[in-house]
Amino acid sequence: MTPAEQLKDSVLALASQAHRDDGLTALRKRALKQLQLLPFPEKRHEAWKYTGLNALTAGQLENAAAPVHQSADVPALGDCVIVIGNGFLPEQLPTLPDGLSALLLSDNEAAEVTPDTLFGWLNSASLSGGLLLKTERNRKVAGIVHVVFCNQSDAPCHASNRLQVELAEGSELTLIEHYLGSGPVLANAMTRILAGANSKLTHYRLQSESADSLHIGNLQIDQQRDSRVDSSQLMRGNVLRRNDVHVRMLESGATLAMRGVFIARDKSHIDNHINVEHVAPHCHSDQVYKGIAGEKGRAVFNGRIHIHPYAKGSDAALSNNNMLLSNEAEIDSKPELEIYNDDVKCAHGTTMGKMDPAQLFYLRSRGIDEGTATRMLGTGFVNETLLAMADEAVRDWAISWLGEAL
Amino acid sequence: MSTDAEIDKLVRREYAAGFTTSVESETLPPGLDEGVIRHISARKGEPEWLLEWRLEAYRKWLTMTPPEWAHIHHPPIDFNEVSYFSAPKSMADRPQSLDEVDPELLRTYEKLGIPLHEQAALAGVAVDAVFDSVSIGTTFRGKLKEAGVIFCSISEAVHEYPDLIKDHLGSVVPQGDNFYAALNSAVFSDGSFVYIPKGVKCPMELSTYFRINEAKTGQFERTLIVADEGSQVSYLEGCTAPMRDENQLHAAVVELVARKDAKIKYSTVQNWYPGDEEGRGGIYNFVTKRGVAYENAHISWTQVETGSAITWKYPSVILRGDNSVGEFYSVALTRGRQQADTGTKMIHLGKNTKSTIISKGISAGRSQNAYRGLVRISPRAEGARNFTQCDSLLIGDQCGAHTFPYIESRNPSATLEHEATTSKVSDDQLFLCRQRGIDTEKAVSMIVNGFCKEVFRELPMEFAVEAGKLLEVSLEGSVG
Amino acid sequence: MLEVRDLHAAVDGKEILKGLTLSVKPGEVHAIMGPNGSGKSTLSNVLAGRDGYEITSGEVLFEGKPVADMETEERARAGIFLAFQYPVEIPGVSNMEFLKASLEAVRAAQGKEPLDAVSLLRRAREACQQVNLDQQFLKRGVNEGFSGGEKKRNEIMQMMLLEPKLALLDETDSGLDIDALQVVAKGVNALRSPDRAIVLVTHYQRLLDYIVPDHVHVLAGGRIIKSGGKELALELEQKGYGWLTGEEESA
Repeated sequence: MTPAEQLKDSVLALASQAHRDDGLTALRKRALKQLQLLPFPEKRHEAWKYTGLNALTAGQLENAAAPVHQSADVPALGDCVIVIGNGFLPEQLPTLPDGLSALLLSDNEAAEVTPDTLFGWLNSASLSGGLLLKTERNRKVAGIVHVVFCNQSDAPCHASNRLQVELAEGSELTLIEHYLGSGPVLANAMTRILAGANSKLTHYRLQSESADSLHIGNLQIDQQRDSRVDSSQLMRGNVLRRNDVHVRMLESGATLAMRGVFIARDKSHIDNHINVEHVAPHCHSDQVYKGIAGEKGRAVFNGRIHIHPYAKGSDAALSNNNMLLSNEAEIDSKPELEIYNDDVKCAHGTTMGKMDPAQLFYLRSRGIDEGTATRMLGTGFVNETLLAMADEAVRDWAISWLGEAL
Repeated sequence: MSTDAEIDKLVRREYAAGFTTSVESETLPPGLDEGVIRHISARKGEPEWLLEWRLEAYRKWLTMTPPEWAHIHHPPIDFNEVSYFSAPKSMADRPQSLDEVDPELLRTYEKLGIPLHEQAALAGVAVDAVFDSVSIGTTFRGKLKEAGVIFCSISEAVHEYPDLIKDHLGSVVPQGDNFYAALNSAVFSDGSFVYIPKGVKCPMELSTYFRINEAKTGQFERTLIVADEGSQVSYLEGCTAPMRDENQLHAAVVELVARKDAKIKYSTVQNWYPGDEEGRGGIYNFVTKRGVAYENAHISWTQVETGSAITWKYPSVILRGDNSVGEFYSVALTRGRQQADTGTKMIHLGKNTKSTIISKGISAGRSQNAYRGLVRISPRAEGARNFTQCDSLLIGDQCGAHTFPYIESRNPSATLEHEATTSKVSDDQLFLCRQRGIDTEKAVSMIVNGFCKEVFRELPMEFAVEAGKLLEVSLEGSVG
Repeated sequence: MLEVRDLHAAVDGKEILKGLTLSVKPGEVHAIMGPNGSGKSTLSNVLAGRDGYEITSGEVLFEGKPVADMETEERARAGIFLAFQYPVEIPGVSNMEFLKASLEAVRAAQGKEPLDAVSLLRRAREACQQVNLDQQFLKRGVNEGFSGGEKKRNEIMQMMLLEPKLALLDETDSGLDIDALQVVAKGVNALRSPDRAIVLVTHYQRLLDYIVPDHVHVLAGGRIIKSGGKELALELEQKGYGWLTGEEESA
């Protein structure tokens, strides 16, 4: 048996272990079927060309994480905090702001998901519980809702983190999904967002687990007519980090702004696969992703814009700028345009380079030591992106948290 | 009448090179096994080492599968349906000069605008004409010989210059490089060989014209160009095939070796039969082209791709030596049901290596046109630079334009820039032109030529005009 | 020269012009003014024969011949020139190349020999000079990366070269600062001649300080609701369109 086949067996073992009769039986069953069909990802698969899964051990696929009770330090970013430990929902949910309700995800409520990776199916197949947030029609939810997924373990294990957010027509919400924790646990995250007509979501996806953790995540967003989604995805590298972000603009007039910062230092690995589909006409998407790799870090960016045949009047732009800090670091970027309609305006741009030696020299000639100067320039490189984030508390936290990595 | 209707009127222009030549050919029955390879090798009187080389490639090929990553779709190819060797009977006794060649063959090339008699030939261009599996002759050999330049068919070169062939064949594209290159290595029939000695600037343009004539035949030519230290050469290839209902396979390999300070400019005007409007017939063009550039060497690929049902090719440069330069300029036009997945690979190994990629894709009709390109900076490629620009132009709303760049950097001192845009020939642009009295046809051709300008100016002058015309003709049959 | 009789025209099936009548004689300068959405641009586009602008009834005669069945380029070759409100960019096609193609087509239709390269270049340079456009613009792509004012001056430059019989200027003054406006006006005034007619379509009275029209028409709701001499423009300036349309003016 090849290593991939062995890992596939571990995946199936975990999934069958998870079987029980509760509100999620049907979801798990459906997902198990898919899992049986799919091969375990290998480098020869185009979507995994730059990300090997050597860091993944059988333990992280076979053993379900146990509930945890102690909660990690959660930075105060939101007005309402929900902490989910190793994928287990708290018995008592906090009081929620008006216009928002929280429920346990059940077979009846779980939105159809078609994850891009085997891990997305594994999330469903091994799910113990998921959080469902719903807004009320035409209501603006006050404050920031902070959902914290804390995954913690001393032994290798697997934790399914599941969040589903439904924005009713005309509603507004600001949401942080935040990943924390440490230890050799694989956080397998699946976030499903349904942005209803004319709704507005401001979304932050913060991934700040410690370097020894593993994270494989799926973020799937569906946008209805005239919805506005603003999503910021910030992450530092760890042993293995892979994100598949898939946005479908299903009805006309939808607007998407996405930005991301990924910093891979030391021996960390970050892979972001972004796929934005313009299915309906007259939608607008704008993406800016910035990557930095230092020491032996490896950063991968794959950004695809897909314009469907009937999506005339689409306006889509993607820019990916990268900075390499060392001789042993590597950045691989693959921006893709797939276009099936002629009435479109599409562009992507990618750059790769190092810190500008002239700028560095300028700072040093003013007495600033090289370390500080490097940090300042790195911060300057990503700040442009961070400053575009709407909420001050998140912005300030992000600037200092990412600054530590520079 | 609306602009669309008017453009529509221009549709369905005939493929001008679609005629067949009736000559008696000796064609191997379809199918591939070691016997076929032995037959090809024996037929060409090849030395033992080359037969072994072919068989080795064949054995590798048997273990390989066709690549699946390209953005193309076609039914699986039955490699036993293809005939791997076909030659006009008149070529069996190896004519010694063009005067002895069957006049019917010469007329074929004349009809294609490539007269082979030197007095009629394009001054300043030497031509090697390859018909199905064999080279029928090379012009201006004497003149080239004076300069020390070798330009002949690869079959001849195997006999005449065995050491040069032995040293370089497969040195850039190894036998097992990819599925189609392995197939080519096993069964390649003919092609051109060029050697430019040290310090020599080739006195004229060199050119090979490939023609597939026989039905159900694959063409597997192999071209090898070696430019020794400090030499320079400009080479152009052209390709056509008759109109036939079935798909024909063309799997070529081109290897370029540019030694220190050498310069090779390789241009292609590819106009294989693209199939009809409904997608019947046409050439499957699966080609591996690669060059190695040593210190200070310069390799430039320019291609104008208008033909073939499927184009799968990525002319590449391995920038091995310090300060070497690689360039790729491409115009790929697809219409009807054509599919193209084409681009380049620039592998930066040496210090201060530099590459430029300019790719212009034009999609019309119901075609799919993809750019796929790799830029790789290795850890020791200090100061490497790349600039890539890929633009797509869409004409009509049933076609697709795609861009798949792969950008890999492992050296912080490298600078890479990639830009891509997609636009269309807009109604507003056409209206402005027409309001100034310029008709739609002329307006579209002006806009398309403007779009391709950066690439056309890289072509040797004699062919730049030709390429512009080719594009015009191709578009006439497709806009709408 | 131009006779428009009870013209009804629709865009995407929606009727915009609803019975417009206008008569323009050689040598005359007409100004057509009107509030947003009154049908000004529709009129210029219908006259130039843009796809999608459909004459539903009435007729347009140019030099006595109906234009409805003439293609856009045929009208251009017959001598109708439209200076665009939003001149479109054509990257990669140089201004010079564009002018050459245009002049050749228009001159051929008029039975004139094509200009040789030297005279063409000389004339183009002169025209550039007259509208204060640097000669570098001849080498650049058509309107590619031009500022708003440069695009408008480029239109006037082309008009000078093509010497049309009927020049339609669609809001050529919009978005111009005062200096550029004077340059454009100078160009237009230079073209005034007894055998040429000029129709200025404009939103702002300001233009008419520099190009003095013989006739002023007010277009509202798809038809001309008032015509007069140049003094009508001044009256409009003082009283606004609401004076004539009876509506509150939003602009």
